[in-house]
Amino acid sequence: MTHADLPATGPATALPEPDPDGLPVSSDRDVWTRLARAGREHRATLVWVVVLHALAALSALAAPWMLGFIVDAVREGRGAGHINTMAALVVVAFLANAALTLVSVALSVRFGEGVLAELREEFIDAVLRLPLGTVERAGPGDLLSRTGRDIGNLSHMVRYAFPHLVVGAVTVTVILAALTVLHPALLLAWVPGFLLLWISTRWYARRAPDGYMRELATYSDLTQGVSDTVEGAHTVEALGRQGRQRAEIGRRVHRSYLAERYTLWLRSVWFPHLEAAYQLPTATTFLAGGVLYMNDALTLGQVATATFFSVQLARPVEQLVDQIDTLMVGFVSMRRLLGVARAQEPEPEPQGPPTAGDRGVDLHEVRFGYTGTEVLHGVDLTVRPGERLAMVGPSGAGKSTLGKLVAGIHVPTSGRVRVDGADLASLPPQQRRAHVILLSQESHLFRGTIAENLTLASEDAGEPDLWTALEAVDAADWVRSLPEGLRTPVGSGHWTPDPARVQQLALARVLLADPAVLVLDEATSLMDPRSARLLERSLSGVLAGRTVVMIAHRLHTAHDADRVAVVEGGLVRELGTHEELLSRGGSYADLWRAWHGD
Amino acid sequence: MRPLPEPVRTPPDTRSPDRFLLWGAREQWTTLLSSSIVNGVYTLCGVLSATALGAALDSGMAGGDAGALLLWSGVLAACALASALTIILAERTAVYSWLRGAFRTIAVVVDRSVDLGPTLTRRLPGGEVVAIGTDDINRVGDLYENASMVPGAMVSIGVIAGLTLHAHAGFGTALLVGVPLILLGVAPLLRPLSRRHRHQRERQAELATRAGDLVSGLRVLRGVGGEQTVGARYRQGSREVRDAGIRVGWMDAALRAAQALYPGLLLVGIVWFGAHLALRGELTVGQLVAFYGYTGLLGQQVRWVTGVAWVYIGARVAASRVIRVLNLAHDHPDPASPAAPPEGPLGLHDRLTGATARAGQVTGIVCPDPAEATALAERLGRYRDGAPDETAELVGGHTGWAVALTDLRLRDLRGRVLVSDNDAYLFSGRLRDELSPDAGMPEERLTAAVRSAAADDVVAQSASGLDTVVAARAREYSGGQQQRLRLARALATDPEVLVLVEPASAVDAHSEAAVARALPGARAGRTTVLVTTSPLLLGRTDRVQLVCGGRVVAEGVHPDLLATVPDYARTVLRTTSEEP
Repeated sequence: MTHADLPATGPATALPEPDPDGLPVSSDRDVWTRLARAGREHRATLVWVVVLHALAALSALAAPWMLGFIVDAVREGRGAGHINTMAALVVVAFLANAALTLVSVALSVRFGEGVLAELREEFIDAVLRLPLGTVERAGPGDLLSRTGRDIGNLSHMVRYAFPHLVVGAVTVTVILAALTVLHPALLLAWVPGFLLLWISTRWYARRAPDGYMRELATYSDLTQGVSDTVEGAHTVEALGRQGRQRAEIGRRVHRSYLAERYTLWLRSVWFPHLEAAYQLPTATTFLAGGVLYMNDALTLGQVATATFFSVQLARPVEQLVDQIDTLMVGFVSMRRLLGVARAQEPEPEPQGPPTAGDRGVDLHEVRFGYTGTEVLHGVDLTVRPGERLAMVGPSGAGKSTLGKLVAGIHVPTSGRVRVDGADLASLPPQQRRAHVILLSQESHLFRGTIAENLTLASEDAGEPDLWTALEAVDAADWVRSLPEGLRTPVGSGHWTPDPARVQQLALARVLLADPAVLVLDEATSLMDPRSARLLERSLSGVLAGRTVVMIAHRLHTAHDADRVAVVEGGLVRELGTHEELLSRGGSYADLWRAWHGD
Repeated sequence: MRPLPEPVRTPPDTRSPDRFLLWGAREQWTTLLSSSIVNGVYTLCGVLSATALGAALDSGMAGGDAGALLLWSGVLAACALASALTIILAERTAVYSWLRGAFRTIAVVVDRSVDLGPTLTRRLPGGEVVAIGTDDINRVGDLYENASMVPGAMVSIGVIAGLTLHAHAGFGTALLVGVPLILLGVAPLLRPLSRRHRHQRERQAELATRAGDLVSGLRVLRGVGGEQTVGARYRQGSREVRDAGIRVGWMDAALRAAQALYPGLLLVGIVWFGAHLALRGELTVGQLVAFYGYTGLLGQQVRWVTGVAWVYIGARVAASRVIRVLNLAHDHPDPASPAAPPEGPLGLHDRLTGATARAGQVTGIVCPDPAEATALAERLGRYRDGAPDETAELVGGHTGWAVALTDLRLRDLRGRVLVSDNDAYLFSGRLRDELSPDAGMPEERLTAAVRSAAADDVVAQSASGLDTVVAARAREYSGGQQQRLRLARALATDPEVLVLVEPASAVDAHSEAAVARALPGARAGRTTVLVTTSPLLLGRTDRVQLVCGGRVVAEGVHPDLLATVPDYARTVLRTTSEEP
């Protein structure tokens, strides 16, 4: 056993903690089914891998066999000619072994990489079919860790564990067969070794996953700490938290250390048993061979051959056992990856065009709540086609939730939401998006050019369309001033515009997608107030005729809208034009006066 | 094994990656030494076992002596047990080596990062420093874990050399020439292999980034559309990674084949040569068998040593990234002879614009140009150095004594003036710890700060109130909630001078009004600067200054300015030109 072969002591193979509210995890059975399918689909490659490895393992036995032959030849005083012929044969065997190894390893890599690519592409496809509501509820953490760590673990399993598994299993079989050919009784010499292996590995395998999971959790904690320190470096200095941050990292390092101590203890018990299991058979084989020799069942040369077969057997067995951790971690990761497919949206049947007449947005007696607590307590609200409605109210009042219901992201617990006469929740995403799109304050720039980011949802938009949209969001000037213009690469790893400009681009993206109803949830909140207002004005020109629901905390947005809805405590408390609400003297009027310093 | 982390004994040597690695080796030489000794003993068990096997074949056992057979079987079993026991120590020392190396690397990087403050992220992409914590520490740890195999390998190679030279000079020489030859035979493959591996890793990393990007933007994709496009791009990247992997696979396979072939050929040569010697009676059969065993062991040692070379290449790259961070210098160095900060209540004065915050008051500063507001706030906290007449100064409230911020020790300045803007980072951990300036803040003061920031509902909605553990950046909270948490933290820190930049720009008007009402009370007796255009906040200030085109152009109380300065009214009421 060498250290280089040990399970990684670092966070190379990382298993995240299970999240009770997260995405589903598939069963062991699903994993086996999927693996079996991979085996079926790549059967030819797989068969070749096994056959070639078997031949390679067989050819590698030439050396101990030659040794035994020579021992006997020397003892019997046979001529040098025999030995030369023999040596030439073994050289040929080694050359063949090298060629077989070359092809079989390359083939197993091809198999592994192929399966790996299929699995990760399937996973991403499943991610892209996740219902928006599920994405919102699960949050990005779980999915990000599946995408990052679990794909990494799977790669580790497929790239390293799988080849060792195949090679190990094939080689062990071949060598055991060779021992049997020499004399079946020699197999007895390996019985104690295999028993020791079995018992100690079982002991270890019961405890190891928990231990490693804990260890890896402490490492993600540590990574988070480092990333906090770096990303928050400015704040650390501003608040004078240098010492505190150092101490915090020290604490996290210590937790990793303690977790490492535990798994080290597990290995301290397991490894000596393994080592004994690999090494003792050399002695027992020698003993068994010696006994057979004394009974004239084997020659002395064959005893040497058998002993070195045993020596050669140790390595593949060791490799097999070594992969246990990687396999266990990879298996769990695969359950998590396949699990995402379970949360996929069953694509509803496309529906016919909505009946004309009841266009606009219509909410009737809508109640909704996240896990237990009801947020909306029976909302009635009608937005006329082409109307611009502003929603204001204290945070936590349910404005954003209302927006998500209008956009069809959540389905009401009771009551109904109709947009353009259609029940949105029953529409497939493509159709739903033609009706209504929700734009929230968190937007995302994808890695790619500005143009690619704008045309995500409207691939056939031409450059003039892009410029029109950029003009409408007041972004044309700065985009034009970039050296590469629309072709400027943006997103993670590239230049990232400031948050206000990211919001502008997000708005332009939505304009290009051109839905009938647009829900803007604080979509201009990161811009400075003055630019936000200017932008909203130029937007209103482009959006003329579209129905727009704007959730806003800035009162000028409400002032500029056709009507204002004040949402408080999960209900629409006030509804009317700016002037109507002012004259009514409710909470909106109070706010407006405070704003104007009256 | 002493508990980790441990203090660093000497400052790291950052002149080159190799020197850094060497410094690390000096820091943990005891572990490396014990690890080397244990490894040496372990490999010697293997040598002993081969010797014993050879001796057994030459013993009475060949003549049918059952006692000899039992004796030598016993010796072989003893060797096996000895290595089984050594492996415990070998594993312990190896893991401890890894941990010391990795944790020390984290410690020095964090230490430096913390001292660099904003300079760090300005000079290096954050991801690069974080990658040190996830990736590079592994490589450094791997080096220290594996390096101790080299002395062990050397010892066993030396012993084997001695044994073979003693048994037969020509034979021993053949072995000792053969081993370096194998090393040289495999070495040419390593460089291109490492290059292709690097290429594949880069592709892989790129693909992982793309996947992460896709997931981060999933809400946009599912909400607005574009799954097809992005999915196709991912698939293409995935295929590229697969093909790169297959190409590397051929190199890997070639290496594996060579690793089997060269020692194999050496083995055949040895056995063939030995067989002729044995035929001539110069070697016994047992010696031949022992040599066979040694050759196998030598092959193993060679694999280990090449493996260490491999690990070393990775560790050097990692070390070069580490020293890049360690060698950064702070953008705002302390002056050679720092001035003493003024005594008593403190005010702030910006030399460039003339903006002034009087000690003990709440001052509003309004800049119609957002860029100007940012620059002003950065000057007030010395986050940006310009010409001497562009710096801000700290003013003693009683004495009127003014000291330029650039003449102060940075630590003295930061301890007195806190600039809190909307980029301020919210750390992961318990909300209570995050909001308190130090661990022991009394509950009532903390709740008071939270209430003043209108963040009580944020805390109330959190699963376990102040004891809720939040994620980094407080991601689970909305922009407005984060803003209020930031404000609560700034108020709880209670600095002598607090500069708040648009502290309520993302909160709803109701909460904004609540913040405006509570702020003067929460800052009573302290100096507060509000860089904002919010009329709700400005309405509660003692005095407001309008900064336009680099100068203070108007000054007074909010209602007066609103009534008399049209520019001011336009800016704070967000009216556009066509409106009255």
